[in-house]
Amino acid sequence: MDNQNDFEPRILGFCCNWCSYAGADLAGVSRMQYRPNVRVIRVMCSGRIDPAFVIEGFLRRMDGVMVLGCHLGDCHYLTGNYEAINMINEARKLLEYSGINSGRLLLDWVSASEGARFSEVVTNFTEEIRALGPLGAAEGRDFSELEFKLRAAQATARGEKLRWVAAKQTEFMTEGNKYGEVFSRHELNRMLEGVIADEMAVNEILLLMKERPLSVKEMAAAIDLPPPRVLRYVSALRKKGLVDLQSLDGNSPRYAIRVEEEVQQ
Amino acid sequence: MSEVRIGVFVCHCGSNIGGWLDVPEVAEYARSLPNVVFAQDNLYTCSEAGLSQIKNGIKEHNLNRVIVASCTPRTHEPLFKRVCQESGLNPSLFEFVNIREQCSWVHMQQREAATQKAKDLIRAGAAKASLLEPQEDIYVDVEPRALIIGGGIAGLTTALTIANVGFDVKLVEKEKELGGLLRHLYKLYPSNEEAAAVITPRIEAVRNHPRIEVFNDSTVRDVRGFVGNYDVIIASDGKEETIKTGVIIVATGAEELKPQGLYSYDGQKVITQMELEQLLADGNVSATKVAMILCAGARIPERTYCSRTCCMTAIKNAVLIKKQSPEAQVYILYRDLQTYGTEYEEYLRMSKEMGIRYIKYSLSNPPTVSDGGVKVYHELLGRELNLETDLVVLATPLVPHSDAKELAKKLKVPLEQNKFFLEAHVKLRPLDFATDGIYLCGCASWPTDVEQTIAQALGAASRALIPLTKGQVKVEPIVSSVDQDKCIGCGICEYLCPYKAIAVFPTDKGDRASTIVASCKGCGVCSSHCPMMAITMQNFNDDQITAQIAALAAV
Ligand code: SF4
Ligand code: SF4
Repeated sequence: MDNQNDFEPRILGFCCNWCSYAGADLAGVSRMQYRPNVRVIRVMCSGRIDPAFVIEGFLRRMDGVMVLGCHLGDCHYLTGNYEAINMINEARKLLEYSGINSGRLLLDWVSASEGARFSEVVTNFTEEIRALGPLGAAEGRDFSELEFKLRAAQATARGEKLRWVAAKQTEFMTEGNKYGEVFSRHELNRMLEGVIADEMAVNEILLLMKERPLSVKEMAAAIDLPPPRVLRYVSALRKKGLVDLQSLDGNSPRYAIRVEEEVQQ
Repeated sequence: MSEVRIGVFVCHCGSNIGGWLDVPEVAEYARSLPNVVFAQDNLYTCSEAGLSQIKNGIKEHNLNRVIVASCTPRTHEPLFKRVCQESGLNPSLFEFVNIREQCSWVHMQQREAATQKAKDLIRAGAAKASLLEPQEDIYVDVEPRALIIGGGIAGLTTALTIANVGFDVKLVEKEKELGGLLRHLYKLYPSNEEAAAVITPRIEAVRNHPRIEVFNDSTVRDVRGFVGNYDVIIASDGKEETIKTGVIIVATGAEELKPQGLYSYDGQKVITQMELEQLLADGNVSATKVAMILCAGARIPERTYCSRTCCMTAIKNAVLIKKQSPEAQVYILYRDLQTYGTEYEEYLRMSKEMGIRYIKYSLSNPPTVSDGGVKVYHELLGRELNLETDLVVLATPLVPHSDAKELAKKLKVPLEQNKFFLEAHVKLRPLDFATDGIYLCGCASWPTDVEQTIAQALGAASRALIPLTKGQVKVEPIVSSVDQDKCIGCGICEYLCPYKAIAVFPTDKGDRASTIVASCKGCGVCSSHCPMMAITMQNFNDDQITAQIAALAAV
């Protein structure tokens, strides 16, 4: 698109069956007119939304993702939308780490009787995304660059480490961990961010090595991290048997992903 | 699984869809999608003709997936699934695409964009349909009992209807006495029969019915469970009791708006219609110059709806005053008169013949009440009138009880914008909630008069009797299932599940989670949180949703 005004954002929407999807139905019955940019996928509950779905949307070059659930306290499944807050919070952090403006992800609430509100939310979000421009525009980056980060984010979202911390948020904030320590939202965010920083780096390193064997220096340059930190991740991966020393580039070793057969034995 | 063969049926819905987007073009496009072997547009897919086109399509083209692109799954999915089943196709292999509420009705001025959006949604539908798997139906037993909330005319009628079929009924009333609003009314329009004559025998019948147990002074503390198996906790006298019930009927009614601060309301010289009923019942109306102001506090920006019962109530009370003292002057100040149907029209005409005067005022220029008189600008005469009065009666609307919101939360059912309970569908399912096994009737959903309330109560009772008499209900097979090879028994799912429908059990592989199918409601919270991605949601699994995303994004 040459002109910002011609830009029609592509927006992925998730609506829960009981509130927001019903609100969209009501908007239809009441013939409320709104922008045709959002494509809705119906799920039973906003708590069903896995951060991996959000990342998938952006990987597929959606310009925005919108998740709409029931108002807090009105969830058909009691607490599903509180879990959606945790999940979307995680997804937002993953986007930030991927260099994507987190304003491209919306979590909001629309009840079954709020047809007008549904059309308003859609219209406003469409205009916000229009203002940000196509994915990459507000970020000042090429999609190919974002794509690499997003692939790492996808692997992170699907990885056990982050999923475990993310899934424990409610428990840690109410009952505490196994030592009875109760965490604040702020502390949990720090914890999430720590895991995301590590896991993003590890997954980026793995992605790089999938292309070709690389030295720590080369990897550090490619993902813009200090070499000692990269070395730490690579050593950990070696210990886990995921990565092998492959060759030497002068004095510095090059690493590669261990091939399937060896891992399997 | 063998080759996927999808049939797509694109509905015109008369002109509801066909008028605003290009249905034949959409059907043509559907035909080009992977795995789609047949596509057709229908005038009304849900009509007899449309349904038999689906059946023929399945047979002739050997379809093993069916997509209907039409209205909303929230109303029509059961119908189309049934047709699939009748044609020997597992209903879980049906996929719904909404191109009416999502396209034609909301992008009316953008034919091309609406057409494109319909194509995109069908592409996503086909991507998901390709990955659908047949699911076994799940049946759960229904607790043979009904719990009715509200002991007014609506609740009493449903209670008697259900109990007379032979089921136990628990009736919860928050006040000391049964009878609801009707206890405070004198005579009913248009027959002028005494309200007591209608309500008292019903109260007696309920009290003496061996199958009905009444909980007075009681409120609903909490509600858990699902259709066929609700646990309702009732609080009475500081005691709590859990009632197991198969169905719940909301018959909580409404109350008259007390017009504090309106038209000098004081409960003495300026009163409400309900207060007038009491005076009439006690034979205490001595006023001979009466003005009634309709739409007091109704159809105003803060409360936009018409309460529907107040016009006729006012006319009836005017007639009663006139009958009692024919020399009395009675004015009815109205904005519009809601006297629909031949009977009510007739009643209005009769009241005019009796000499009751009607004066039309407007919202922008409402009457003013002062001591001993009402000033009103007569819209039709075009001048101001000074009416001498010794009694002013305000017709105020019925408003929802203030505790409706709390009850709605406990039941997990929605309220509409005026805070009345919201039915599943205004035309198609007026007595059901979207949640299976919960029904509504009477003023809880909208101001209704006695006749309508009774009709609705009988209707809601019949709806509730369907699962009760069947003894079993089919629940959607949208449930979680655990891949025990991936599960590590961490217990996160068990902790997060709002229904305790998934739990970790010892197995020979170690601790593993599994789903308690009858309790799972299919929210999918466990699935999005499992660290091992071990949980699959039937009909909403990761692969299906990812395929939908990919298909929507494809250009
Ligand atoms: S959350 Fe996943 S891994 Fe943990 S017990 Fe449940 S199914 Fe198993
Ligand atoms: S889908 Fe929801 S109700 Fe079913 S087991 Fe998972 S968390 Fe529980």
